[in-house]
Amino acid sequence: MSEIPGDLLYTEEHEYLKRTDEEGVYLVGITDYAQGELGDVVYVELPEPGRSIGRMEVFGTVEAVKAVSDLYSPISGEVVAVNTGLADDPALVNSDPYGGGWMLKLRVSEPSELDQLLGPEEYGRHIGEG
Amino acid sequence: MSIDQTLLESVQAGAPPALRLYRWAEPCLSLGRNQPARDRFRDAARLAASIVRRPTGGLAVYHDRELTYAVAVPVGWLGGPRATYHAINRSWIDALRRLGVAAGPARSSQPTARAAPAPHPASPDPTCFAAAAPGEVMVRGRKLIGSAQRCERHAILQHGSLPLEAAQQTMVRRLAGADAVAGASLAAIALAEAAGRVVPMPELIDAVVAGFTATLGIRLAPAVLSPPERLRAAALADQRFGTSAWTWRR
Repeated sequence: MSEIPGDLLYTEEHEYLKRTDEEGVYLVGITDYAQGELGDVVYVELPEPGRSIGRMEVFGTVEAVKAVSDLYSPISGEVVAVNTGLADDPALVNSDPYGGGWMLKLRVSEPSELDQLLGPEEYGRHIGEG
Repeated sequence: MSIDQTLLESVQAGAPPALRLYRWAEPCLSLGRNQPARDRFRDAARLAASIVRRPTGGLAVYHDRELTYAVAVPVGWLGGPRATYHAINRSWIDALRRLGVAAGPARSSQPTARAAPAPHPASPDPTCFAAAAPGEVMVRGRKLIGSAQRCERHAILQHGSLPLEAAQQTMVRRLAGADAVAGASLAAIALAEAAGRVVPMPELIDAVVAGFTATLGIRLAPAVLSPPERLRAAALADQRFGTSAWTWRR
């Protein structure tokens, strides 16, 4: 069974959104289910800080055992920071997807889009584990 | 690369799944999408080969005296990315067995006949055929087909290389020296050696068609790119895959 923390929001494309201590700023990453499906992550391509991204826009790619997959932003916002630690240790996406494996820190520009995300129960049903 | 990407985009837009088989007009080195190349492969011009960067992951492949394949399917048609990977590789194994080749899938964490690092864009050995991922097509512990994927929201592209003769050693020798050639000879195998004969191309194509149709339970019909697809492929070549900015992005 995949880990689905109860305090996060999710997308059907298997990204999550996690609140930070700063109002309107969230961490974005891929879920435990997604990392399990991908396999061993060997490279993560992330955008430059300062870039504006639209909801469901591709913000980067993740490569796992020769499969390159697009990463989709759950919401619209500005990239405040990226996890530079993934350059040296991309396997953090596998070992700690909700902690050290975070990918983006995003400042939300359209708060209403949060209503379109899935809660943990909905996401669990989406992946057939609910 | 442009045509393969076009097929992916077409399937993403609702076109039927596609299988493409092709060869290269001249020897060509293809790099994985995220493979660091600026320091390692600039000298590859000594191979008198052209160089392209794939949209898919993985490491360098030297395309010469080989058959290249591309499969574009909707997400879920064969399952997710890993299920699709295994289904396509099983199709190849079926095809090869029809040629008398005792092919099988690499087991989880199986090393090739030469101990090698896991496939990684920054691996010290920059070549695809140096190591095998689980499920890849092997013969007697040596890698026969190298494959890689690109996954977009609604479609998956998987393409790969089946060396017909032992051409990978040429690239390895030029890049890494004679010692590495011996290792490459152990890690990879070409079809002629695996089959114990030179397989005529028509026979190979027939076996591939039979393997895919039987394994996937499908029927294949010949097709050509539509006029919009030809335009899209030309645009992709002009704007992305044919540009230095893309090829040398890392």
